[in-house]
Amino acid sequence: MKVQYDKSADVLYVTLRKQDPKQCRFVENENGDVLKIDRLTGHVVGVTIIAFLLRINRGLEVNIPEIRAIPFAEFAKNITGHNTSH
Amino acid sequence: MATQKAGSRGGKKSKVVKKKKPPKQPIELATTDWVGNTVVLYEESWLHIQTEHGITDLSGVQNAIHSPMRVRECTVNYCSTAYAHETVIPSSKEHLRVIVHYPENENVIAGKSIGSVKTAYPVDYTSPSRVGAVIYEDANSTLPPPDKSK
Repeated sequence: MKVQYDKSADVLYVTLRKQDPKQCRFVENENGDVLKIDRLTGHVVGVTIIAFLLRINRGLEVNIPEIRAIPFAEFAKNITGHNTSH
Repeated sequence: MATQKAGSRGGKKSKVVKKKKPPKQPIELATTDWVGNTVVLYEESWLHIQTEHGITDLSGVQNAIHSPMRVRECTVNYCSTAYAHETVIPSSKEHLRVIVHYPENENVIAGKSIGSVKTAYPVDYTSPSRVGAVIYEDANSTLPPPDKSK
């Protein structure tokens, strides 16, 4: 895991697994943080935490998602675009 | 008999410690947003945006800030005032979302504030936005209609 802090913007970049950003899609979670998701596997490979120090100083929670295994059907759907579960 | 030098305590010379000013951050981009606020993108932030989010077109970021097709008012991120500026990424199914933070709410509407780019990333047309509600839509926007989720 690699953690980089952008102090000029107060943004924390957490890399859980190195992956080319072109192979990833980006979605926001309920806190407005940006999840970097591997298109092929569906794994969260990174997270961008906005207003990191501000939140820490206010005692707010900062969540870093765990790397999770996904079911085969979901994995296949990511690759083929078709739902294989019946 | 031990002697003590003038201006020292316990044999150590006293030092006047000057408080250092924080170094100025190099700016990669300075532009104006859709209502005339100045927006800066720091070099450090731009490096992170390129390496972590794969956005390499600086003119695209400038275009999203200056002439956005859509602007959302961020209701998350715990910033006092932040907006998401959106525009298309040519020949892509994604569009560019640039998060800009402004320190003062009142001056933002008047176009007299100075904002800074927090981050920028590509988002899929189909994924719902959790950033906040749309507050501006350009008449010539070619973005698909915004989702109703927020």
